[in-house]
Amino acid sequence: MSGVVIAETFRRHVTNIGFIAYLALLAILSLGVSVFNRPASVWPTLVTLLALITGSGAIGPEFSSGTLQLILVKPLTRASYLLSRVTGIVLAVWLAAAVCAVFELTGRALWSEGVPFLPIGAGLLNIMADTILAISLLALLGSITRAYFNVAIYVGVMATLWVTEVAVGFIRQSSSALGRLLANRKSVDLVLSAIDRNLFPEVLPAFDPKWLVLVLSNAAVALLLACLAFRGREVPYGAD
Amino acid sequence: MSESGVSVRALRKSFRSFRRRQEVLQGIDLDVAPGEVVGLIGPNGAGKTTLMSCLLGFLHPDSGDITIDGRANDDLGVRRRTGFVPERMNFDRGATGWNFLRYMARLAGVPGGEVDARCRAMLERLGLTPAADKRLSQYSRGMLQRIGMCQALIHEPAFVFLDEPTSGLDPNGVLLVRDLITEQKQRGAAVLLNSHQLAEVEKVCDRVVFLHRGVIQHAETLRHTDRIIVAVTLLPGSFDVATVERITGVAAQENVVIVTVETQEAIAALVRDLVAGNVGIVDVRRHTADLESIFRGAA
Amino acid sequence: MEPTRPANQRAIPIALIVLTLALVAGRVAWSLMKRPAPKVGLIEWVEPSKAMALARESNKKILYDFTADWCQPCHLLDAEVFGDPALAARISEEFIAVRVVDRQQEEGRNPAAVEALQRQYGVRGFPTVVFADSSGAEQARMEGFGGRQVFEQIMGQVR
Repeated sequence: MSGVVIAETFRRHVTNIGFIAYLALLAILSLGVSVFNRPASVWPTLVTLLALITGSGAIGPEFSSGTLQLILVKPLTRASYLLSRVTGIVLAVWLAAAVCAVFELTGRALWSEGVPFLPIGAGLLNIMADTILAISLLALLGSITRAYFNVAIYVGVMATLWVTEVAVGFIRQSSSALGRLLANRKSVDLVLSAIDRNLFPEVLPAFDPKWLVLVLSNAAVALLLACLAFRGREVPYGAD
Repeated sequence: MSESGVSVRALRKSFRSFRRRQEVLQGIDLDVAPGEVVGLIGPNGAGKTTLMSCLLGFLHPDSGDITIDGRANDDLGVRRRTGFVPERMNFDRGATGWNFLRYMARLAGVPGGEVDARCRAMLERLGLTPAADKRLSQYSRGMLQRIGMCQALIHEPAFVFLDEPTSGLDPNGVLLVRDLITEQKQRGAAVLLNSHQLAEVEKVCDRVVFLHRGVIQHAETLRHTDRIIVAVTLLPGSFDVATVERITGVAAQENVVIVTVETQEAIAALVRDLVAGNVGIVDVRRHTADLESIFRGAA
Repeated sequence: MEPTRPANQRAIPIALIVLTLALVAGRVAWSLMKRPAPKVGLIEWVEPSKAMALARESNKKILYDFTADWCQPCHLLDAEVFGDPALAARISEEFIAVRVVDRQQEEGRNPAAVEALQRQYGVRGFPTVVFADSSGAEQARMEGFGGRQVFEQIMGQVR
């Protein structure tokens, strides 16, 4: 991996005015919800949203904008560049997650009895793993598409899964032939559930090493596939 | 510098759409030796950019062989010694010129301790020091082209690929780029220049290849190393055709005689002989290929 | 200066391949490991065959937790409900808790007792929590996991 690319990617994100504003919002929110809700219950979703926003730019848009050509003539492997970009983005998102955790801990220390280090620590660890997976999937989709199609596909698949799960449940309760067929078959649920828990795992509120291994293994597979796709991809440049 | 330059053999590249297959490069052979500047000219759609993209590893050829310094073109050691100026600079528009150049320099492998000094020197050379702290989004087309030259040359590459490097530049910028190209040649770099500016190509290139419909239709040496080609324009009516042919060994065509000599002293001797033979001389200059005619001939 | 290690720009890092294989192998190994009967959360789970007898003896109702290891919302239910000390204590006080784990995906079929219970209560998906009286008659159910509050609400409906 390239420390130069990691540092530059991280710098670009954390000096972006939008990122800074979002970070400030996260900090205020984490401080505020520390009085009310369960520990680490609100900000993980917002950190995941940040991961989607930042991860969408990992590699896909660079195919469209023509910036990739300047990089590809440099002495670093394509895989190194892609992994370094992902790492830089992940570090920026982890910074946001850490800020949230610190502000919630501070808020609870100030206004609540007892500081729930373990739940917040577990929430932080789990969201860190979850964001690696999200950004890796976006990098995979970006390495086979252009522009911001990666995030469109990601959100599209998520929405389609949800709609399908609801539709299956609805049809199952009906008296139609399809409903009767589905009532006796759990395989549809198995498949949908398998896709859902592998691509979009729910962030658990507690530490679960098995869940962590599942998420990290999926992220590793996504990154490997992304490197393979990027390796073979042509990067057309300009026109005569 | 490198011992061998850029070598292309039997390069073919086609693009497929669901309707048809278009063969853009149909068997290209090309060499660019160290210390040589080769110009690539041709009409739009000839395949120049496709050729350059294949050389730089952006596209995968269907067949053929590309070696740079005897190695594959995507070898990291080759990349470390490659510089590329794209026609249009597209990069993080939010970055300042200084930050962008530092990033490119570090990626290119410039030693950490030398990065700042080289960046400063390069920006100074290309007249960009006042704009170093401005964002690239505020740069004019010409300034972007200059910073493109900076990032391509900051690591003193042995293989330089230039795509329309003078595009958008004012006359000062054009002269600067010409000087830079000459410097690369003198350093021993192999330079491939893609340009529509025929006048610039004539001034800086040693050889020119004319690409048309995916093949090299014409190759012309503009600057020979072992001989000098001289065009002598004669005063009409002042000379005898047989006398001129006896002295120069070549027949005059429309009052111009093209002579090949080996040294500059030979040019002076030739002129003396013609004057002694009562031949009126109007003009003596180095002869280069007429690139416009090549273009017109292919159109 | 020439690089000491010539490499192709398209090379895939060996470390990434090794890491991926190791993580995937770890995941597969974990899923194949036999685990002891779980004490999930803070609740003592009872075998299905003993549930009704225990419920009559202790004058409690029965809570059936139909679950599966591959079921993501089930894990949330375990963490947020059965892992919560206050809720777990309340469940233990009012119910005999029975955990019915579907093994169809892992083993191809379920034990007869599991199959029978799923059929008896018409279990169509996971998690399904059925609240029953000591004779096994259903009084309330929760299908899917809609959050802790939903669970508490449904549990509160059981008389």
